[in-house]
This record gives sequence, structure tokens and C-alpha cells, in this order.
Amino acid sequence: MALLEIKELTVNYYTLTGVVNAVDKVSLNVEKGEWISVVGESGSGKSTMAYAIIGLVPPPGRIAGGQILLEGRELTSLPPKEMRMVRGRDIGMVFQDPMTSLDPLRRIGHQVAEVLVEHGVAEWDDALEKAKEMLRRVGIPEDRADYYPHQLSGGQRQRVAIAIAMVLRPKLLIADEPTTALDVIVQDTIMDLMEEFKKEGTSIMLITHDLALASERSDRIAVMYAGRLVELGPVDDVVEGSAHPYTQMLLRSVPDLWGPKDIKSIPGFPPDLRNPPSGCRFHPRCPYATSKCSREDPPMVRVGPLHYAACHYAGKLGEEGGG
Amino acid sequence: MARGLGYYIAVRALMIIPTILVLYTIVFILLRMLPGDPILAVAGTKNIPPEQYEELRRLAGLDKHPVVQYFDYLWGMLHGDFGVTLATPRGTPVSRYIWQRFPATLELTIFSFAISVLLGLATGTVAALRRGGMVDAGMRVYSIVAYTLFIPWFGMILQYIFGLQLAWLPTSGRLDPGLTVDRVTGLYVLDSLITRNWDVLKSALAHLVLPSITLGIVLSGAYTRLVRNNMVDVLGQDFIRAYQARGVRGWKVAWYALKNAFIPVVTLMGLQFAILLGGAVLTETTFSWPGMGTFIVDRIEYRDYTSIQGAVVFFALFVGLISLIVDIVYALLDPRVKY
Repeated sequence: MALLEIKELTVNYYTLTGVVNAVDKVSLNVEKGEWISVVGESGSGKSTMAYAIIGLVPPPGRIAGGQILLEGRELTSLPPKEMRMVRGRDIGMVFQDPMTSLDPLRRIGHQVAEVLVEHGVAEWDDALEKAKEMLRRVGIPEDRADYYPHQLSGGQRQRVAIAIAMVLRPKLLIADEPTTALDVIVQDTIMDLMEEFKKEGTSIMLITHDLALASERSDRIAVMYAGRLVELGPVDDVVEGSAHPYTQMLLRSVPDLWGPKDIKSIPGFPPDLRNPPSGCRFHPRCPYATSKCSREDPPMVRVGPLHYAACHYAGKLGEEGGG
Repeated sequence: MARGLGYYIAVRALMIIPTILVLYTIVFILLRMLPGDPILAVAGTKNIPPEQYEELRRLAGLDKHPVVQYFDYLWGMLHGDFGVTLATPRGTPVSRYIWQRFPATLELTIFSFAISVLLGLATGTVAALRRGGMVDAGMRVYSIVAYTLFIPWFGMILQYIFGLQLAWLPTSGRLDPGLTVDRVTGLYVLDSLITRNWDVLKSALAHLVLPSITLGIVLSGAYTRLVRNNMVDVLGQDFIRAYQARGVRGWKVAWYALKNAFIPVVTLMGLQFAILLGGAVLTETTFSWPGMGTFIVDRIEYRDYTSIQGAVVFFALFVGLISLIVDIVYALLDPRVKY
């Protein structure tokens, strides 16, 4: 059984100007011990999906359909008290900007220890000792447990955020653009740290807009576009033999030091999800689009042993597969 | 951080010296720019004997050169000497009045201050949690109305309803007639607690209700807006969602949000305190409260300008002290403050 099963998940934002369909019938599994990266532009619904998993879709958003199963347990219908215990204990989360994701008024040791106290794992004295251990584990000298967030660098703060997320050794770590606010060298050390936890058995879900970053360490990649999952498969299959035109164009828009010099951006803009395009949501920007694409929703079709794509012509556009 | 809180407090304490000097200088110059002869004003007639005129000038310290006056008064102030009264009873040290009257004002301001902050925090937090809705709009109206209320008018309405119609609460003074309390601090609530005089405590609290609610509500308006806006800001920050994402209980998250939203409020407290003293003058006259405010108003009627100078300079000293306390509280609350 997969660790996490997302089935037909739909999330809408009920705004004054209309219903924004941010996530549309997305189905996705996270296996035990795997690193899966969810890639997409801003507005693709990847972060909303992450918030839906931990039951914290910000208002006016709501899960409008589907199921989220953690080891077979349905999360979307869980009472708030039980859902609170899932957060932090079963699922840890790291946010984009470590400048703002830590409370500026509290010592970092306390912020780590609080997770243990709030989940009834330890009393404060004991929890503070364990927090120091955890800080050392992520590379923060334990005498810094008394530091406030502003006394640490961005990279160190993100380490603290990871310590907080991992202190109860959750089965799943969701990292929402954890390195976007950091420089490239620090970015790599944070990724190393996450990989260490993966080796200890934690599944990682990395949410990122950066396909290059995603392809470095992931086992699988899920590509989202305009609220839908468009391609899913092992890293090599998706990067070397992408089956969806969006993924192909995304790959060509990534600058590569050793690759061809012609970077092509994707023409057009992501659609307004209050009124998404009919059929395939990518068809207005797709160079291969036919009339069928604007009429029918493309199903997820299998293009390799573990490789799927939501395109009517998946696997038939092979030549254009970039890399 | 390295230098510690003691160093920070020492620096802040030194910094209030220039503040007080500036305030003193302004008061000193303003009083001497007033049109007319203060001696004739206090005497109430132009036909006073020259020897009496000279006597009054000497008492007021006006016989010396203004520069000498400036430093004489400053020197006296450092020793607790704020001059003497010119009007009846002539020649009484102003400091004696301050000693008698100031605790009454302090007691009123402490209660009003507490009420305004608590009301502001409550209304602002509620508005932030229900932002965009009717409650938020209602709180916005509350803050504007409260802020623009004219104290004597509002105070009289409360006196009419709760003092006359319902007859629940006294409308003037600090204690029921016939009651006295041994002075320890001059704050009746505190003194009656210390001396375990429960009748006085009850009476003192009852007398405090209307004036401190009047002043407290008027001053709460500014807090409502500030707390509301800060709370909205803080609640939108990542660390609040990060707290939720690690399973911290809702009420604790709300507490951390409030703590963060409270920091700018502390700054406002310092500024509000000066306004509070101004409001206290109006409140005291409305409720016949025997504090510094009624003292100043009385002395203005006598044109007793040495008393006015003494009282105003003392207020300036007090505001300086409060701003020092606010700075210290700020540093204790926010670890990001640089020492």
C-alpha cells in the first residue's frame, strides 16, 4: 500500500469574483521512502494540493471532492482534533521563506521543543533536551538553541524549520519551495539534509517550480498545469522522454549550461481558473493542439511501465521530447 | 545582545534628559510669550501698590534676567522645587500640590489606560478574526466614534444614565464623604488594599468606574484600528500557518499572533500616554476628580502662572519617564531590538 493516496482531489477557492478551480481531480500516490517532486508554474495548484494534504487550505478555499488517504486513513473527513495530531506527527511541512516561517519572538529551541510538547511526546525540560539533539542533527550547534531566528542566516533558519518538521520523524515531509529564498550553494546543503532524512525512511514531497532542481534527487516527478496533473513518472522517463507537450516545453525553457543555447519560453499565459479552457487545459498554448483537444478532457494514459501523461497524443510526439 | 539590557536601559535613561530639557524650554518660553503682565493678571487689578507688585515679581522669580530665571528654575526642579503659587494661598510650594494631587491623576490614568488597551485588544482582535464582515465594519465604526467622542459630553451622558437614572455609581470625587484612608502611596485602591480597609476599597473602585471608562473608551479607538491591522498582517504571515502545520493548538497560535501584533501597540502606548494626560484634565473636570487636571484648570482661572508652569513641567517629566518605561517594555518583548 502506498503511504499517501490522493484520489480525484478537487480544491476550489470560492472568491467574490467566482469559483477558482485550483486543483481538478488530481490522483497521485506517494510510496514509502520515495522522493516525489511536484513541478509546476505558480498558479498550477501544486501548493494548494500540499495545503489540502495537511488540511490547511486557506480560506476562501475548500476541498470540493476526492479523498486523501494516509496509510489507508481518510484525512479529509477527519475531525479537527485528530487532524491536528496528524500535522507534525505523521506529516511534516517546510515552507518557502525561512525568514517568515519561524516566530521572530521565540527562541528556536523552544519552537522545536513545542512540537514534542503539543503532541504529548515529552514535557518541556525533556523536550528542550531533545530539541537540542534535533538541532545538532540538522547541523545547528546546540548552544544556539537559545538564539532567536533573526540571529541566524537564511540557510540556518531553514535547517531549524526542517528540525521542527522532522522532530517527530513523520512519515512524509512536504517541502513547499524550501530553497527558493536561498542562494544556490545553501540550496544544495538543504537538499542534502532532506536526502539524509529520506535515507532514514521518510518520504519526501518536494513542491517546486524548478524542474532542474526536481530532476536532481527525485525518484519520480509529477508535473501540474492549471490545476491538473499532466505527467507523472520516474525522473529519467519524464526528463529524457517526456510525453506531454507542456513538460517538453518546460524542459526547453530551463537554461542548461552544457545544453543547446536556444532557450524557448512557453508562449501565452496560464489560464484563468475561474473559467478554465474546455478539454485539455493546455490546448490554447499547445503547438500540437487539434479540435479534439478543445473538446475532450485527455485521460491519463500509460506511456511507459510507470510513466503516465494526460495528452490525447501522448507517446506520438516522441521526436520533440527534449532533454 | 552582547551589551545586555542594563546598558540599553542606561542609554535610554540618558536619552530622556534632552527630551525633558526641550520640553522644559518650550514651556518656559511659551509662558513668557503670553500677552499681558502675569503679575497684574494674578492681582486682578492694575491698581496695586508698587511694593506689592515688586513682592509678587520676586515671588514669581521674574525680577531676575530671563536666562538666570531659566537656570534657577531648572536647578530647583532637580531638587523637587517647582516654584510657589502666586494666587491664594500665596507662596505655597507647587510641589506640595503635586504631592497631593498627582496620585489621584495617576490612579485615574492607570485604570483608563488598562481599560483602553484591553478594549482595543479585544475589539481589534475580533475585527481581525472576522475581517471583511459585519463585525469588522462595526469595529471600524466603533473606533472612529470612540476616537472622536468629546470627553465632557460623553462623561455627562454616563453620569446621567448610571449616576442619576440608574443611580448605580457615584459621579464625582474619589471617595464617599466621611471616608478617609491612611496615605501610603496616595493611590486609594492600593492604599486601602495595604491597610485592609475594604469600605474605602469599595468606594474608591466605585468612584473610578465612570471616569476611567469615559477616558478608557475614548482612548481605545486608536488601539482598535492598530491591533486590527497588525493582527490581519500577522495572521497572514507564514509562521502562523507553520504553527498550524506542526499541530500546535489553535488558542496557542492565536496567542502567538497576538504577541506579535502587540509590539507596535507598545509604541502607540507611549504616544497615547501624553494624550491620556490631556484627556485626564477633561475627565477630571467632568467628574470633579481632585487630580492634577482640576488643579491646572483652577490655577488657570486664577491666572496663577507659576503653578501652571510647575504642573506642566511636572507632566513633561512624567511623560519622559513613561516613554522610558515603554522603551524598556519594547526591548523585553521584542528580541530584535538592538541594544
